[in-house]
Amino acid sequence: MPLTDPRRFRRLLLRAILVPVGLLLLLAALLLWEVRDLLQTQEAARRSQVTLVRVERVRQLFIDRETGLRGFLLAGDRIFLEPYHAAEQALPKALDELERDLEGKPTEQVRMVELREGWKSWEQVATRMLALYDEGGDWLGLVRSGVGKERMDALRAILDTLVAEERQRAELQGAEAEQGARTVLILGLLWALTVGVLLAWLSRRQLLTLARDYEASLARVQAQADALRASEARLESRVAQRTAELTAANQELESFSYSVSHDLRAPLRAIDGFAQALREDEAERLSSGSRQLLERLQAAAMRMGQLIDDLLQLSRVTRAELRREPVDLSALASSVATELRQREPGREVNLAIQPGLSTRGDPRLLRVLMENLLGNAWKFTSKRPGARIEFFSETAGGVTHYAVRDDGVGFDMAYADKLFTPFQRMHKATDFPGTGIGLATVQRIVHRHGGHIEAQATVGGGAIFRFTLQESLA
Amino acid sequence: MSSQRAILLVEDNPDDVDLTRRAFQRAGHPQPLEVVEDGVEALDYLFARGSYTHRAGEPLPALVLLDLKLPRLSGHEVLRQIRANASTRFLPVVILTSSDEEKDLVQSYSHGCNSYVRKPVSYNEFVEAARQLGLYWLALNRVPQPGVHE
Repeated sequence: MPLTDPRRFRRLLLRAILVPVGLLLLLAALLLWEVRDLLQTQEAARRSQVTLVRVERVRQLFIDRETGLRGFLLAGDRIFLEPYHAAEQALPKALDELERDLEGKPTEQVRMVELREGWKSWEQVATRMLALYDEGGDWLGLVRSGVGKERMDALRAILDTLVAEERQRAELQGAEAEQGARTVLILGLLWALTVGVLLAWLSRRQLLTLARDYEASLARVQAQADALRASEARLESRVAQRTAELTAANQELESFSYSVSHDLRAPLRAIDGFAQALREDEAERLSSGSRQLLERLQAAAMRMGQLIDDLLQLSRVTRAELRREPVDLSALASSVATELRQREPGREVNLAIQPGLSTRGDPRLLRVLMENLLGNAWKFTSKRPGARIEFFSETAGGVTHYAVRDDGVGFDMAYADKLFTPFQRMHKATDFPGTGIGLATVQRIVHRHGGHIEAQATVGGGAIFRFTLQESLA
Repeated sequence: MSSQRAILLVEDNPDDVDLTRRAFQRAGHPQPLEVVEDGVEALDYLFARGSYTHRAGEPLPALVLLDLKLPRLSGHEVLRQIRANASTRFLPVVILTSSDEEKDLVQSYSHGCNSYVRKPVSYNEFVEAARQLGLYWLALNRVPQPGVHE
């Protein structure tokens, strides 16, 4: 998957954040739990201390009662009873407070009950002593009997037990708190360590993933470039192959033409030559009919020779390498016109050539073109005395059109599409000679020069051939 | 005398041989027409080798009429070897062929032919060509004696 895929990127990001955050939250919860535990333990320890203080207060109040009473009995002065009375006032409240402290602690509650009962029983003794003292009884005997001391000792013992128990509890809670603190510390360290390790691991993982993705993208780009190069090479080799095939085809065509040129003409030469020999050697013995037959044989051979020559020219027009040089079309047309006049000096033709027409093209091919177009005009005006043939140019739509116009026999436009096809003729061979290849050759020359050609004619009203040449071609 | 020396026709088509012989006769040239049918034979004749060893010491032909399309060795190669050899390099050679290819024309002149004539299909034109060839190359033209070096 590409690096640029937003879903993948989001997933990577989520994994990078959610996983560590979840883990850290879990650890934090654990830590908080431990801290709460620790706080609770500390609170318990504080309460134990308070309890111990309260126990000592109670003890002090008991002592106040005892020493107050003892002082009064010894001195007989009521002033010594002040602590005794003060303690009596304070004790119920101190005891209630202590009892509230010890709520939820069954053993201590039991001790409280014992304490209250022990106190009550000491108070009975104390009350009795005071009563005896006031009655002038034997209070000393009661003191000496040790009942008061015994009961106070029992109270002290209960208080001692309470203190011992509370101390033990406090110690336990202290140890627990210490343990809790250690756990919190360890958990805190663990948390920090985990955060560090997690972050490091995730960063490394992300970096590795990114690096892998980058490498993958790089590899893909590389592969694409390779594929492109390969297809380019394939294309080149295909072009080279096509070129080779084309070259081979051209060579084949060339050797075919060469063969036609050589081997097809030789038998025709033999036919004409031996027919002529026959006419010369056997002149007296041949009937006039036979001589005519021999003449027709020779005429057929000549026509075949002309066909071969025209075909070869057509093929050469296609194969020849196109040259591009300045060509004076007017001079070319004049030269062709002169040849035509020399070939048939008897004809009276008004041949008008617009001067100064020049172009860029292949001079040999353009000569063949002019020979064919002017030759056609010459041929198809042969039956009109004082015929007129023109070569001129006109501009239409910014394009130069060259035209050859004659006032000859023309042709039926219904067959115009056959005009430029080889071997297609518009007129009977007895009317006008020809092989039907000339206009096909003309069209090929025009096409090779990047132009087009069209013809317009009416039967008996002459014909005009217009063609363009793509002169800007290098 | 140069008028007694033969014309060597290098041509594999018997019809063309007959027609050429006839054309030269009709054109009124008295020189004998020697015929060889391929390029190898032509060189054997000129250099008196192979089946023509008996020609050693005989004079070279006055004119060679060389077709281009020949069995075994082509006319181009025959011409090249004629021009490469000291004894034959001044020998008048006329290419007489059916080919109208620009390529053949250029190659023939590059190898040093003296003239290039395309055989016309028309027999009458052919006779006229033979007449003019004989007139020019056998009567008018002058060639250094064989073996004479400049």
